[in-house]
Formats: sequence, C-alpha cells, structure tokens
Amino acid sequence: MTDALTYPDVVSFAVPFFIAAIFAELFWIRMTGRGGRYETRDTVTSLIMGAGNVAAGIALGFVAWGFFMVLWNLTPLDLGASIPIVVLCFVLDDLRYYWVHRFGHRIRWVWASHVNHHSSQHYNLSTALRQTWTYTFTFMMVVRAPLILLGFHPAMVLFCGGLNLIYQFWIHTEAIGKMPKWFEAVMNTPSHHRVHHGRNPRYLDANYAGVFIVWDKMFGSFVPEDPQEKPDYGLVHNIGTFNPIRVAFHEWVGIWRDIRQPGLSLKQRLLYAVAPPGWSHDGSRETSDQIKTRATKRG
Amino acid sequence: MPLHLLVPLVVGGIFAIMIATVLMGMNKPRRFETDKEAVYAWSREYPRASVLQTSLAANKSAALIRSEEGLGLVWAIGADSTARFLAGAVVSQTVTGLTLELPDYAAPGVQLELEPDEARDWAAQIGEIG
Ligand SMILES: [Zn+2]
Ligand SMILES: [Zn+2]
Repeated sequence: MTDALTYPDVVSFAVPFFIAAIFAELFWIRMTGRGGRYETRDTVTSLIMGAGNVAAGIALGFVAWGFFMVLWNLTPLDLGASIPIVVLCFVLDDLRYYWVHRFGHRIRWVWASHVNHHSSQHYNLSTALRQTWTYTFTFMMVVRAPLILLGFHPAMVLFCGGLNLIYQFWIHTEAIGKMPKWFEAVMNTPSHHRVHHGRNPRYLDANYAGVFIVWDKMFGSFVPEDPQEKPDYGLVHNIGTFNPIRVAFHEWVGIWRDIRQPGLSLKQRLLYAVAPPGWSHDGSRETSDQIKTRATKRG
Repeated sequence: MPLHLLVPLVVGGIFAIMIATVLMGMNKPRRFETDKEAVYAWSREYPRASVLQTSLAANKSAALIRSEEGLGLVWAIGADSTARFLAGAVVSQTVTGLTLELPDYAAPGVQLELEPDEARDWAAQIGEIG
C-alpha cells in the first residue's frame, strides 16, 4: 500500500493566481464597461468566505482524512499512482462532485452548507471563492468512499478534488460569452455555470457539473443559457447581510428553528432537515419544483 | 504553502481588492429611482404577493410595500436589493430614521435613513403589525 503518497496542496498554491485574476477582471470591467459587476462589501464577504473555507479545511480536514484512511486500510485494492490512474481518478472524482453538488441542491441538510456559494447577487471571479465553512457537517465525504475502496489513494483523490475546485474558478465570470462549440459540448463553461447561479425558475436545479458538463447531459439536468433570458443571480430569497458568520450559518439556523416549531410530527421535523429546500409542513413556502410549475403555468 | 506565507497573502490580497473596488467606485449603494423599480425589486423576492400600495423613501434606499399578504419592506443591500415581510419586526427611532430588527437570521435588521415625517409615518405603520 502506498501510504506515504503526497501531492502538493494545489488550492493554496493557486491563491496568488486567484488574486491576480480578480484584478484582471476588475480592470477589464472598468475599461470596457462590460463583463459583470463588483460591489465592495459583496466582494470582501466572498473573499472572507474563501479564506474561511481554507481555514475550516485545516481545522476539520482530519475528519474526512481519518475516514478515508480507515477505508484505505480496509480495501485490498491499490491502483497505484501512474498518470492514467490519476486521470481516471480526476474523471471519476468529477462524477462524485456532480452528485454531491446535486444533493447539495436537493437535500436541505447539504444545501445548508452549499447555500452560501449562491448567496451573492453578483457573478464574478470573487463569487467562485464564496465557499462553505460547514462541508464536514454534511457528511458528503461518504460519496467518495467508492473511489477509495476501488483503490484510488486518498491523497490522490484529494489532489484531484483540489484541481476540480481550481478549474471551477475561471467559469465564474460574465467577461467570457461562449467558448468554442466543442468545448461547450464537453466542458463546464462560464455560460453553463451562469445558468447554475440563476434564480430564474427555468434555471433552478440545472448544470451541477464541476469540470465536465457531460454528467448533466447524462443525468438530465442540463439547461443551456438562453441569450433571451439573462440569469438573475442569487437565492430565491436573497439574504440581507454581509456578515460572514451569518452567511456561513444562516440555513443551519433556519433548519434548527424549523424543526423546533411546536406541534410537528417527528416525520415533519425530519423532513425540515432532509427534504428539498423550500419544503414546509403547511405549504407556506415553495420548493424549486413548485416555483418551476408556477412559472410554466403563468407562461 | 506554509501558513506564514499564505496568511499575509490572503489578508493582503483581500485588502488590496477591497481598495481597488472602492477606487473604481464600486461601493455605490443601490437606489430605487421610481416606485416601479421598488415594486420590481419586491416582486423579485415575493412574486406571489401582489402590491396594493408603495411608499418610496425620500432617499430612495427603501420602500414600504403594502401587499395583499401584509406589510413588507424592500431595501438596498450593497448594489442589490432584498425584501421581507414585516410581521414580528421591532421598530425603534434613531436620529437619522428608524432601525428595524427582523426575526430572520439571514436578514437580521435594517437601518433606514428617513425624513422625520417619513420616520413617524413608517414607524406607525410598522408598529401596527409588529
Ligand atoms: Zn450550486
Ligand atoms: Zn458557482
């Protein structure tokens, strides 16, 4: 077993590039008057969320790592660390990302962590860094279990996950319209991911891809960007705060308040935690499916 | 990357980007130029609650919305907007207007800058439902 396998911590090495790219986008917007919007407090909050995500990784990363190492010691399989294996690991880990992201929008418990990535009404490179602090509490590391059990070393899996995250940075921009046709067909792009950040009814729950858009086409969640319908960025109910603590924890607080309401059955309390976001016991809120149905009815 | 490099890089980077956005004038708050704009911003959050009456603040930073489903507020948050119904809101007077505390962890409160008459009128309306 290759227990001592090590890879560079790619995300932290990408930090100087992130900063430089944000400056480049800012100057591009300033010079051309096109390509998106920035707002000071929104940007600072997004960047603090990004820094907090790295800090949370340092503080809580041992939980996932410990879990992965238990699996690694259990499995008799070891695929080694050759280049084709790393490539295969990257592709399969991107499939893993697709499902974790899909759960992130369809299960409120996981949404509580992912919601903050969608909590800005802007769409620019700083939005890419608006990342969760509470991923560990979603237990979504279990979705990586099959990869480890198949014999991909945990360090390699995390390395591929880091590359995946870095890939997704550049697609958070309005400065790029469409990429070449073949690229749009296979890869996740600014155009596809703008749809994912749109709160327009027809753009809800679409384009969960990390790197390869093919997963959305395979699993029926692909929606192309309509040039006639500009994405309206943000949440169905936009937050009214720039406080990073509130941004990080607001949906967890919402779950807690909902499940403690008096007079609910045990099942209703559970559903407030695991049903799709917007579910309510009395129908007073709307899920994304209900929003879509209402919008299509209205025409 | 070792932490003694990463931490100053991140802190310095955030600070530099913040300064750049301010120098480029990207810290201007949202203003609702007309009632219609305020109603549009309201409907973005509550498309089902049809609007009966709108009072736009003199400084155009917020509007009180009377809808079929109750009294609400739409207000500027940075360059953008958000809205909430005001049931359960606690209102208090300040020198420059009103402070609203909302029973919502994701939108805990709003500082409203209002003319003295406006502040009195809004406080009375919100107080009724608080
Ligand atoms: Zn998402
Ligand atoms: Zn995104």
